[in-house]
Amino acid sequence: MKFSLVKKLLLVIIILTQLTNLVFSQEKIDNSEKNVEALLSKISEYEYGLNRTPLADLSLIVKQKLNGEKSDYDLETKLLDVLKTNASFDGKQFLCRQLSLIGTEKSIEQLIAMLKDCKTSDMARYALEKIKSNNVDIALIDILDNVEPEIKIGIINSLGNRKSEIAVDKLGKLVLDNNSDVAASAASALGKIGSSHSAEVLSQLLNKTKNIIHDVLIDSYLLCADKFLLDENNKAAEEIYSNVLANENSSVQKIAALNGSVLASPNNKSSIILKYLQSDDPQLNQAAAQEVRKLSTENEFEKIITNFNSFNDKTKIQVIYSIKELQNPYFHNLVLANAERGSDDVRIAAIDCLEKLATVDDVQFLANLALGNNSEIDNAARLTLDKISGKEIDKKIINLIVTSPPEIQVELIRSIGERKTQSAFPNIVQTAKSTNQKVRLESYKTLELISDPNQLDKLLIVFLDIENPAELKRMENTLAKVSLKNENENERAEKFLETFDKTNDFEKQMSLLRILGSTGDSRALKHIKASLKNENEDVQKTAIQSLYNWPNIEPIYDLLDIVKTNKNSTLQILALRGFINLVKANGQNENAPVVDLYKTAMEYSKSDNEKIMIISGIGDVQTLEALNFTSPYLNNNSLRPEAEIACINIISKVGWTNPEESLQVIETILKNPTSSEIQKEASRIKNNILSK
Amino acid sequence: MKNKKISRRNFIQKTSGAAAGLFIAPYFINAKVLGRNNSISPSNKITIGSIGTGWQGTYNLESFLYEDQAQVVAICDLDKEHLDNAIGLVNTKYENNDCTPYHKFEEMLERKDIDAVVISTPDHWHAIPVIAAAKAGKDVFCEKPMSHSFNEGRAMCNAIERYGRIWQTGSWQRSIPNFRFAAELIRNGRIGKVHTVEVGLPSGHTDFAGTFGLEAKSEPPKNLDYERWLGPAPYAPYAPARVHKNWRWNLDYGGGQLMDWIGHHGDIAHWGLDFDKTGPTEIEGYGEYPKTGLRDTATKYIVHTKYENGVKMTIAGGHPEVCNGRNGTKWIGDEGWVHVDRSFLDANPKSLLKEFFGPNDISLLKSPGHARNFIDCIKSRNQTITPCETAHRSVTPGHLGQISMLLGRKIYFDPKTEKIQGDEIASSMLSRSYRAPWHI
Repeated sequence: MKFSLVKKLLLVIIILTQLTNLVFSQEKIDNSEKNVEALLSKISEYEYGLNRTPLADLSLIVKQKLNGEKSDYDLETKLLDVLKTNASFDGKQFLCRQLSLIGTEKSIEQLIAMLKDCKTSDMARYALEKIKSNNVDIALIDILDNVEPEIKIGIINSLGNRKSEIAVDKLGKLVLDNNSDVAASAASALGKIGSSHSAEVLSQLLNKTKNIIHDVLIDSYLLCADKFLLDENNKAAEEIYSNVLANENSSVQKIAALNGSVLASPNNKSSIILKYLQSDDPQLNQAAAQEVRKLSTENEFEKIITNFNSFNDKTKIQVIYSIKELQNPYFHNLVLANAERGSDDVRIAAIDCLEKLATVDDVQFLANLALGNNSEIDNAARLTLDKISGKEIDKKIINLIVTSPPEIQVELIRSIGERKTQSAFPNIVQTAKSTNQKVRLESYKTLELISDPNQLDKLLIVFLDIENPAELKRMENTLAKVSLKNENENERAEKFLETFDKTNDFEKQMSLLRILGSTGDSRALKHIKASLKNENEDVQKTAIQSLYNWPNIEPIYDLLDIVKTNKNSTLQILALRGFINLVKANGQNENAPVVDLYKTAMEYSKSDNEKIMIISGIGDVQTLEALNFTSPYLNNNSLRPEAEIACINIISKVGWTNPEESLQVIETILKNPTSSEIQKEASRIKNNILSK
Repeated sequence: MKNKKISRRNFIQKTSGAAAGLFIAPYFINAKVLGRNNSISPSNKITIGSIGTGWQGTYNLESFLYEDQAQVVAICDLDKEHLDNAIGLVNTKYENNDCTPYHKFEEMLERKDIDAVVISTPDHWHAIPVIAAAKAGKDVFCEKPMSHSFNEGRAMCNAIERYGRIWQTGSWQRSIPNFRFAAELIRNGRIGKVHTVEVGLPSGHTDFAGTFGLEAKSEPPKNLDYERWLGPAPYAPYAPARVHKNWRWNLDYGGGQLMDWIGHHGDIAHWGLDFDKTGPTEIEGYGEYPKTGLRDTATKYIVHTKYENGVKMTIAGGHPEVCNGRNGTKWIGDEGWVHVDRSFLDANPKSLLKEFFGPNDISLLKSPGHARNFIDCIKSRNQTITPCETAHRSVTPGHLGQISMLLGRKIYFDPKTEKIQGDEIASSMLSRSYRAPWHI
């Protein structure tokens, strides 16, 4: 029974394997001996630049072989046979790459023969380096003394990559080779091998080398230590790290040793770190400060805290950054003390660090700090106050608002906004009614950030109580922004229309009219259109201005109508500006006849300012029609600077498709550019067009 | 031609030197600590050497030129034309002739007065200068994808970590608010438990240099040190299509669209899922590779991956069924989805787009601009927004996907040990052999 189950499972596996092969091997190449020989014949004549198909096909046959496809001949032998001929260099190189995938011990003899030749040495190594057999190492070591230095270096590199333990002694001797490149390669290979034996050989060589070779040796020595550390042989690793730290090596080598030493000595790491935090070498101070992140016990932390004042300021700052990353509350008092006093640089770092360590008790401290007279300390405190996490922090800030004097209230309210603490809404509605104007203004700002559209009723109550025009304007912004949070446009105006009808206060009605203009709600538009026809000129003005930011082009003809027919020149000008604004905002709308609308606007514009607005807007349209409309204004001295920019913007889009027209305009600009920047940009675009 | 819209304001900014290339934003934390109190003395500036100043290299160079706390003091390029152009840009900006040109990066790294290097070379030329820079004690900004092979990436991370260097990757999307907002939506569980991620990338090959068709071998131009340009890559004769800009379409120097973009949208996918220190466990890819011409990277591809927590991520180019045929990252959870691209952010439900995050939510690091974040972190020694390990993990699905596609089979990967399970051939493809004398 069991056997049958195993058989079934095997069958499933075989079927799955076949299916996988089907999925992957979408392109099948005939791997018959005849086809392979035909391909090899072509490959033997292959040179770069010729048709690569035979190479690609043979690659697929190799791939098929690697995925288990059988053949009645030996593919490796076939490839080796070609390598023995005087086939082309490029063909042989390709075959060696294939042998790096399917090569076995069978390939060693031929590849070693090629290795001795400078021309074919590298390609032979590509294959040899990947063949899993000790005989490859033996063969590589055997020929080391009989090849040119360049070939020798390649072989040494390969022995290193193969982590060839049996090559260690030979490589050790080569470290003392007269050829410095050979010596450096050998030193490097010993590091890659990273065994006890190679470390021992390296240590014996340390006193016998200098300069570059010595540096490579140290790097390799450190590599061996890192390998020991990975293998959990901490004692051997530590021995190397201590050796490097104790001797006259470069700062950067000592940094590497310090990094390793901390990892290798878990029971002694705080002492090691402390030693280098207090050293005279700033680079080692810096490295040791980074190592503070690796501490984990209170005893270790205590050592840093006790000695903190002995560090120089730069080191203190970097230790504080590491503490911030550790986020361990054990450091809280140290950080708080440094946030309170000391040099500004250290204080700022400590205040920043409080983001991760502050408790509810520090909220008051930070709020007070934010009110100081040192702008950098103030900013740091503000940012920290805004970023400390925890619901209890939110609660603490809310509670403090009630009991704090107005100047602190302002800071706390601001922070509520930055923290987006929505639960503080009732409290901020209250502070919006404060007797202190700064508190009220900060509250209006914060309400914009924390309110949602369902809370508009309560915001409108605040709004209706406001008497100061500047405050009214601020609250107007808040209401408009909160209403826009409602995704359904046609639900945005309701509360404002209701309030409009309820209030008799003219200023508030005008404010509501402006708010309606930002909603995009169809009921709001109907109300505004009616107001355009109101007998009161101020109502008309406000209604026109409220349409400046209407989100679509719908009211454009109402504005045009005022431009064309209204006899009041102020209203005409306002309407024309509104018209231009709407066209500009819809400049990318493919369905809007934008250029025609701009032409109309130009027809009615009277001042250069208006014309400049139109030209600036048409620069966004980026069609040939827009270019044709704009380019004549290059002849008008007052309008030329804006026309130049608009034309350049348009051409940057249409230059490819309309090179002749574009170049003609560019030439006009380049004849008399109004600034060197324009000249540069126009020349750049001209060159771009010409280069294509 | 780029649609580079100009306005009066732009002109004023440009003429006043306030325009900052790609990224400019106020940095408001610890301004004084980081030396931003509008009184930066030359000695407070981070000195930068730029290695590779071709296409992307010029963008990177310009973004650092506009950083008031950086001073570009050296340029290295193998192409004399690129070198001269970059030196000209720097000297024009600073109105002096102090920037030193280098042909070999090794010589530039010997300078003790250089704090950091910006490496914008082709992919096959990332690992060697990065590791050399780390050993020389320089902080590193390196273009994405950070590595040309998986093992290179690990070696680069180890070197950066070992020598305590600060690293920033050119995965600049993390410095853009839209991407951060999308990732914060995911991190804060706004779409519930994420079960699927789609990463839409470009397909095909684009002729960035106008050299398609120029594939026959020819003499390298005199301004280019072609032998060194090849560097660790296998020997191949010069052809215009092989080098500048279009190198990315050849597996010896780049990884095609998959590797070109995995460090962007794949990186963002990982960011949202908090996968910056892990990787997929199962990878199964299929790619279509051209059989003719010099270009040999996949033109159409799909890589299915699965992570330890069960999340499935599909990365594809040329597959309209993935990401609705758009580019970008789309996370799908049991309560909705979020899709973000460079010019696009959409979600279901739509109300997610109006979400805000307070101090009680998970907040991702805010970068004031990619170059600026690098400079700030050099000073503070904090991790940047794209540390080395993050960059390595971001491109891992790409490297493994590439191996699966080339080998034609599914592979299994342990993200903790970073080993491919039970497949020696696939494991051997995690590294590349270098041409002598190059090694890392």
